[in-house]
Amino acid sequence: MFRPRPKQAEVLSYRQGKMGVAAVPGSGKTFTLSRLAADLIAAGGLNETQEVLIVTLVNSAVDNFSSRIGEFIKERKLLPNMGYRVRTLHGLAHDIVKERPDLVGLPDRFLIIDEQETDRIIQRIVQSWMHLHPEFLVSYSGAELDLQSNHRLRQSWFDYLRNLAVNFIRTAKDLQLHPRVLAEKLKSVSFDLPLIQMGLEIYTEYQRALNFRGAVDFDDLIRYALQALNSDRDFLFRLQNRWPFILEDEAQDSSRLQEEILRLLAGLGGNWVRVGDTNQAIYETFTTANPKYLRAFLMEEGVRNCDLPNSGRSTQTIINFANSLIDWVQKEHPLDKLRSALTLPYIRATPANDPQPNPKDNPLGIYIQEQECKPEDESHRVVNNIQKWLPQHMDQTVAILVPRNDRGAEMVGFLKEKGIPYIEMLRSTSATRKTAALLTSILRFLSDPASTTKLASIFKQLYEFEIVDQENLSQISIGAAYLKKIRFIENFLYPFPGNDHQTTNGPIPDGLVEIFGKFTTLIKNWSGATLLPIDQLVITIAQGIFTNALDLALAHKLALLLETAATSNPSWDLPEFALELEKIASNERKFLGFSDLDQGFNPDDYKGKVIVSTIHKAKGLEWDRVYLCSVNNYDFPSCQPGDLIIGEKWFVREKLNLEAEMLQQLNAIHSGDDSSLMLEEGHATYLSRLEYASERLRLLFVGITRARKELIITWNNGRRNECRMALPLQALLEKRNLHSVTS
Amino acid sequence: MEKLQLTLEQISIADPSRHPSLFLSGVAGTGKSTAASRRLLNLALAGNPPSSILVIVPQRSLSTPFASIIQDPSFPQGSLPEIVTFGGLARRMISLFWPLISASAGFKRPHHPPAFLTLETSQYYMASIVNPMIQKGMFETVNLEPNRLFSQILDNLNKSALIGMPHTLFAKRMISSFIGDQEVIAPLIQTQTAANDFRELCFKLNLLDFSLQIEVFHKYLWPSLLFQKHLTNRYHHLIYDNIEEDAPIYHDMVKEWSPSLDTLLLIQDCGAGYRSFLGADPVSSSSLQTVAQQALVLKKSLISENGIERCSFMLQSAIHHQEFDADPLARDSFSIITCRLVPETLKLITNEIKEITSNKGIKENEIVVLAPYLSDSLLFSVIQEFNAAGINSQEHRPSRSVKSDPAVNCLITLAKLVNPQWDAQPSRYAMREVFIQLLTRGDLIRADLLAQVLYAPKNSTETLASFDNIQSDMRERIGYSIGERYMTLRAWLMDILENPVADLDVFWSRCFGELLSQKDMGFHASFSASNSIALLIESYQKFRQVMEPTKSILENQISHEYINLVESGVIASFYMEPWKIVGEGVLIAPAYTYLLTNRPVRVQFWLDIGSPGWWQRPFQPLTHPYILSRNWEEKRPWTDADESRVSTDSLSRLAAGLLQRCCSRVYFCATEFDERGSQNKTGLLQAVNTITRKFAALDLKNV
Repeated sequence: MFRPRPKQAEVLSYRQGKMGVAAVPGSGKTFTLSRLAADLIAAGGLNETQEVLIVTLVNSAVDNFSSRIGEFIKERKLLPNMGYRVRTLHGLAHDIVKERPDLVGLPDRFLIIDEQETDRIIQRIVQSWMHLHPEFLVSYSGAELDLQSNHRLRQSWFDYLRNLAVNFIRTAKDLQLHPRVLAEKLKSVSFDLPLIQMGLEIYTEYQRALNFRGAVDFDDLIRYALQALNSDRDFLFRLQNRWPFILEDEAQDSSRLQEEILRLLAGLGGNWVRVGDTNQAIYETFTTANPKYLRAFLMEEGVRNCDLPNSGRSTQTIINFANSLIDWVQKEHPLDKLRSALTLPYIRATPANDPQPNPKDNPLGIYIQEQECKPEDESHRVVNNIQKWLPQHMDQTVAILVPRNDRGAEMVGFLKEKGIPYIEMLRSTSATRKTAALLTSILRFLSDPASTTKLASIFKQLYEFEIVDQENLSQISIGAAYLKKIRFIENFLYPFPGNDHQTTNGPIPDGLVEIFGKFTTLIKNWSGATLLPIDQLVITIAQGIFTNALDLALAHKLALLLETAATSNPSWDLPEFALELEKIASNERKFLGFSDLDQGFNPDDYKGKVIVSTIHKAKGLEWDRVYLCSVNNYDFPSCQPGDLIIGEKWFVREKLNLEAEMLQQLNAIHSGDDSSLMLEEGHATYLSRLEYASERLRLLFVGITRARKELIITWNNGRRNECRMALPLQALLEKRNLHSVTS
Repeated sequence: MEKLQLTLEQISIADPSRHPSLFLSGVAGTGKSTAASRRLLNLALAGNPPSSILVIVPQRSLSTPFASIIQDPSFPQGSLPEIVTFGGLARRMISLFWPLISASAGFKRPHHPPAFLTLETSQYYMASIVNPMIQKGMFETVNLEPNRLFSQILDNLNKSALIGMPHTLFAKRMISSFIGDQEVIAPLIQTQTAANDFRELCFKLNLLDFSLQIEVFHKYLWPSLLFQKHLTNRYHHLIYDNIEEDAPIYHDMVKEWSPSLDTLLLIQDCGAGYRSFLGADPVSSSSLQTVAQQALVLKKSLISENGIERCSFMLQSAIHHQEFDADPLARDSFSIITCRLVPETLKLITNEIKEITSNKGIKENEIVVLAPYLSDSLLFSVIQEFNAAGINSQEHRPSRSVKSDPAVNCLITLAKLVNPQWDAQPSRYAMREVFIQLLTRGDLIRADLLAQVLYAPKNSTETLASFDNIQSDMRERIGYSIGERYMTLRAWLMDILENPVADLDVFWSRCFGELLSQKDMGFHASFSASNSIALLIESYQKFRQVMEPTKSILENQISHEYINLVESGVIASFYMEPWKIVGEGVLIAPAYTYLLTNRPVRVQFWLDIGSPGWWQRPFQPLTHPYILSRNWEEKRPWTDADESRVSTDSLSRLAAGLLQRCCSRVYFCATEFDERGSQNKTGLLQAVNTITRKFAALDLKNV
């Protein structure tokens, strides 16, 4: 029986209006919010066409919310999934556009291209743009650099320009600036803006490429949703009526467009609950998200403010440590402008008799590495420490959290070397790869069905995918080995009457008869489906093997990609399609925004294994023991002399942050603010440095608050010995030492 | 033919002397078409020359009751009444009166015969106009594949013609009502340019696409005194069924024509008008009431049982958000199946069908499984599931995608094989598809072995090797009966290679007749394959008929060009309607298609009731079925309120229409995640949910 804490009860008493909830890490906000949704549905104020709309950040949260609310609905003997809708922002935007694609000039079956395809298009455009505009590189490169002979330099520029182009397009779309409109605006500017010119040219080509494919990207989806809402008031009214309550989770990561969409949907005097923790806003660098929108909302007139300060996640020692970071930032950070990077409330332990009590305190549960070391030494030390610790703590969860993928990859390398079991949650999305890999294997088999090796391989993968029941898991190898050795596979799958393949192949091993029966039925179904077009074949296969909505969605997306490939390559046959899928399966890339996290990753399912993750991906998760690595002034700069900033490239003159300079100009053009266009170079670079440092302080806070019982913080002095311990860590260490001395 | 017992009302309607000029209306299932078909018989029996009777239906599938009565032994011998669609009548009359109108209509070669374009051939010529425009950067701000672009421009032309609006005005009309993204305006204007250019091309080459057929018929032929004389001399009796499915321009012509007819029967299906995308206009058809001297309304359903009627009432109330009570008498007439995924739903449906056919006396062909869209994958999965459970099934789809039809692919592969001069040897996989369909009865492995061992695409002397020449262990593996079939196929193809057949249609006809439909071959007794192949042959013939006189392609290249167009997707679908459903078993069909088949059943299964397909119109950014209708006031903005209204109306019409064709029970199947893994909760699911809630409340009250 759910027994809300007093602070949770306060949130649950909500019935109308606007409310902002500041929730600390581990405060049970998902639980509270889903309970609130269920309460609102149960209150009976919704008619059949109305729903409580819950908007959240990632797909895993969608599942989480849905299953919690669904259980409640089921008890009432109503049709499941009615009365509420849980969506990510992209999901919501897709719903909106799908309902009235005509408003934005889209057909009903529009294609959404993923980030890799986006990247591929942009790469091609940037390549030819660089070729046509050598003067650009000359004007922005450091004077001492030789662009002609330095191949590495050109490659670095290429990578950098790609990144600039991606961010330019994303921001332009966020500002609702179509290339044509932007070009018009640019005409009225009387001086040259080479960065904007570069962005615009690439953006124009990019949009052309999308139109040619009849496709939209993720940013278009959001932009179109807003456009559709703005262009037809009746449509907006209909949706406002459909969603009389909007509950928004992770509101600190809201972007301008997200806020605008939800504000429109909520309407004046609407019912809108925004839950978030501005201290956990860590997506600014990659997206157009910004916690300032949530902060401003909380200050709005008529917004009721609540907080959820109690967290049962961590020990008191870890809570104190996180709180002291807030304290130090607010009161002692040497740079005034960064003192608002972290805000109150402090995290408080749960009250007595709470159903989610904090773990027993361990005052020695935090270890901070004091002496400096090289990056590889840091990795070695962490892995060695885990090697000693893990065998005695197989019932506990542990994670290595890193600020960047490459640091994680190094950790993975060492773990592998030592034979320590691990799960990787870095840039790659193993769930995607696994799905694509399974489909690849099936297509490969279907293109070469006489191969017993391929047959055995599908059999093995199917079991591993948990499609066939789990019970006889130990028999995978036996079954696969049997299949591999089959002579005359046709007699196994399609025996002639009176022809038993077992006379040639030997008897089917015990316990495998039924499993083989199911397996051969599947294979025969797929064989029949080889006559269908490739997209329909993949969908048919997926329907037979996947039970998870995300896998189905992923398979559908893959099917559409293959359909597009088939249109451009009419001569392709199954082997070519299998190869195309294989590329997706082997590529380390984000695909459709699905990741392990999206699949509802639960650390508790991986006791005895080490999870390696970026801190970003670890958001929302918790482990008994956390190794927080690379906490130096490169990954966590504080705008101090000697700090290096990732966005400031060595090859750009005066170490300008061209992205920041470019986006500042873009914003100025959008708002018609000519004075900002006149600002001297370097101003935007400086502001961006502040923003980055501020976000990194929050990233550190997020990293610390992932730990339940033990926290180990390490750092390294960089590849060229140019780094030192991150300033906030130094400060916390000093405070801690001081505290131990005094106590 | 078994004589149906008519009601007194039907007998009266069927008697032309009692109702010489009648406007008959009523919902589906009240016996209107049956009465009309009996009237046709009575007219003939009364001594009227059958050739003086004209029956007009909006599409061929709706002509079944009339076609059946003509085939009845009691129908008088001699000439036959004509059963036509308005489009068919227009084509025939244009051909007949071509010299009279060709010059005045604006055709540049009036002394040459006209070439009537199909949708496919229209797309072919439209592509020649639009592709250069795309290359110039036009249509840039609209995300649309070229084939869809072509078809939407043609749609605009057709819709303009069907409401009698000059074809040069559709873009202006759409822009004046469009309130969406202004970036879409430019492509709308470009659409108009393309349409105008296309029309010019048609005049230049004597081509008549559907829109021009209608325009020429209406504007130039219909007013001609000579034509009017012919019409009045030829036809004295008109039976026009399902007038609500036809376009206003047809209704206009009937209004003008009616005074000169001896007898007239106009039949309107109340609540229908499903072909709005093809210009159907029930508002306009209702106005025909004024031209008939009598009007009758049939109210009593001869099909649906009381429970279904009550269920329909509840569903209608729920769709329109009107208050209603749960009706206990409707409880046994519907069931709700909820599942998480599509395969689970299909399994449950299969079990249920097994149960009701085994234990409740319901025959397989008294059941229909309906989906808003019927993708290849869904159809395949349903058929697989049914096959595994021993349930017979038949499919009915209005248009078939050429590329997705295995039988069509098989014939195209064989055509390539016997035309080595095309330099388009089929791949091993294409041959494997031929073998799996024709020789190995679905056995992929042996089909693969055949393709690997016996097919040598690069061997110019012996592309298909002899089965006798391969090693004996491989012969064992493949099996001798398959080998025998292979050799039959090979011998036939070798013969064709030695004695080439010039035309594709002849090759395909012979191939099917002499080989593929023979016993032991895979297409033997396959209704589906024979239907597809008939469509393919018809499609090619129409293509050739257009290409030959216009000399757009050299004569000896027509076959190859046709194959190229199919493969490049310009010829994307066969749109011809099959006359009737062939085969036996549970019918699987898209919901709208089923409505126009006139085939009531006892049990219906409605798949994926949350799908937007039940609710939304297909969105096409460059055309609009409602703005380009007579009922829309120009310059009035088309807003979401209009969109919601038409969605609700369509759903309401669809649901009512389906239940009017259901005798005893309907199963509403809700799937949490569709095949894309997305959740849909549109109007129909909401309405069913309302009914569920009402019954849950009723149960609670009773407890």
